[in-house]
Amino acid sequence: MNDDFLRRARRPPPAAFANQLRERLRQQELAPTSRGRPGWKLWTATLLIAGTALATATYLTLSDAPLQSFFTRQTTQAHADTEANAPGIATRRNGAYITTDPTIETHARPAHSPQPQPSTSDFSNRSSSSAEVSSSDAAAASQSYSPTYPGVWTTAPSLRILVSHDLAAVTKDSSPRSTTPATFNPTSADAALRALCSGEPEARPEIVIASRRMRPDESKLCDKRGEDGLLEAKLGHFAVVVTRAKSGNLMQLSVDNVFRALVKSFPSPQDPTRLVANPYTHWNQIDPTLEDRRIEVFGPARDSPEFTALAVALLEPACDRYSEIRALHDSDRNRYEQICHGVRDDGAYVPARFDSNFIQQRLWSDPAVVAIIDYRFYARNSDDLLGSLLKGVTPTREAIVDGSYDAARTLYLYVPRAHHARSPAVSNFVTLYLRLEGLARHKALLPPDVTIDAWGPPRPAQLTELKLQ
Amino acid sequence: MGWLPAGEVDWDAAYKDQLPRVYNYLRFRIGNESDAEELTSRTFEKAWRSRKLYQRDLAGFSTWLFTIAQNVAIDHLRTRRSHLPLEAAMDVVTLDTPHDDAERDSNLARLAALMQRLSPRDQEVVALKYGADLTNREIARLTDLSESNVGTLLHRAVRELRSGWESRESSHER
Repeated sequence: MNDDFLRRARRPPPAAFANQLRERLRQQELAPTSRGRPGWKLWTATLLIAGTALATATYLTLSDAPLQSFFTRQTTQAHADTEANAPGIATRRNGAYITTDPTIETHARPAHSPQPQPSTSDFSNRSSSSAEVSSSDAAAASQSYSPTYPGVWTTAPSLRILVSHDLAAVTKDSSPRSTTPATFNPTSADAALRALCSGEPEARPEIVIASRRMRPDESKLCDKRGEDGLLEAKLGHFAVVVTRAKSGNLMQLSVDNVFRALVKSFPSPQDPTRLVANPYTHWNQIDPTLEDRRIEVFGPARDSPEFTALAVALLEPACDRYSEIRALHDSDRNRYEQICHGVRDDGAYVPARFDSNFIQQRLWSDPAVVAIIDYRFYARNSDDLLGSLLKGVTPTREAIVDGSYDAARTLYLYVPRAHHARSPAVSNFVTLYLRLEGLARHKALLPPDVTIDAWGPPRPAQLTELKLQ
Repeated sequence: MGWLPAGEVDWDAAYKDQLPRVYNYLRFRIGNESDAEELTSRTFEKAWRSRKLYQRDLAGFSTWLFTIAQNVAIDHLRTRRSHLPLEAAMDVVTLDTPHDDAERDSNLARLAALMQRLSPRDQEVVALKYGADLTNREIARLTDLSESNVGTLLHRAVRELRSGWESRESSHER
């Protein structure tokens, strides 16, 4: 559907007309406005508010005790529900952590152990979703705080797994059954990968799951210590495609263009330490070479698995280019997510459901609209779509696997060779985890070989020796 | 300009942002430049008079302003129709009379002629989309249609407009 002839018919209002109207409105503003007595609406509103306040006060005075017991009952019921529905989830009462999972040892935090601070990477005190809070509480149930690594809780009976923050939701409940209990402790990818090869051996994690590959400088830390080396496995990929209907124009966007079109606020170009509200309404305001069209991007809903793919594969890498925001990775994860995952709510970003109707009803009817979809949906519907609007390598299976496609991220698992060789608990866990049965439940995660047609269980990931150039 | 803010709306910014959109919506809807100017003025004056009643955010402001513009356009069309002689009405429908050649040279006149072939609802949706540059969601809010319905209507209307546009171009070439 070519609608350019319609867009060409638009024109700015004549300057003389615009100025005259402005002047007329200004005159109207200067004219005295009638300030009459408060109308009947105000009196009605006042009476309603006063009446409601009086009724509430009377009720509270007469029935204070039953009201309190109602709240108490609610709270008690909530605790009971949590325990009944989620065995193994620990709750904290009177300073002690209590869990219903018999495999997790229950104890109160020792009085002498340092109290974790609510900032930096102390995930257990993060104010985040209830799921995350529960998970960190569960971790705390069987752990003591390690002063070696901020945010790291060492585990006596269970495996210590550090996972980068962006994968916390993905790895939740991904632990294989019938293995040694493991706790997934979220921290930044940098901190997790650093922890593998630094600090005291007993404080190191057994396994790290990160949304980026280890860098040579990080692996050299292990080499310097004379370690046996690390084993690495690709667990899967997140990839998104920026596209539009086949009849639309092939606009060429950079990752940063898309980021600036989507987020509520970003660092000011003049002062990167200050955030500015997103001022862009048209693509050519972001970059004059882009189309003079209103920004309208269909993307996944904020709480969907596909949004995780968008956040991990596109928003966070774009966000990390601003060093000021990247620094928040370690210091204030909540703030980081608030900025980097905070998509606009002024109509420029439209949450959509990607089903069979999406392309016909949304994209075909408006070829100017841009859509950000996960790779699986793109691959299945590529005949009806224009292709990638992102500059650079086109999204293909090979480009995602080899990491050359910009809007994709690979998930890696690392385990020290020594741990894997000496600890049956670790090797058993890794073997079962690499079957990917837990991770495959995540709808937007692509298997390591990026097969999208196979409906059966994914092929197990391969554990190989880490070799960096 | 000294706009006095009411609530959170920056009236100066709102004027700059919304004036071209309201103006073009009315151009598409009415198909006449001078009427569009007149009705744009009327819309803004109405909005300006009652701006103190409006206390919400700028995104909602756009919906509010276009509701006023829609009503202004409907009133105008109602008045115009009631005063049009039968011959003029026929002209509006066919627009094939030779004396309109000069007017038809402009894109707007060509478009106005084609728009008249659409149903009032389709005209409204096209004017809101391409004149006012609104999103399908905003249009859905203003027209009480579902978002997917707006998409379908637009798809069909644009296809019809384009085929009229192209057939006219090819007849000019001949």
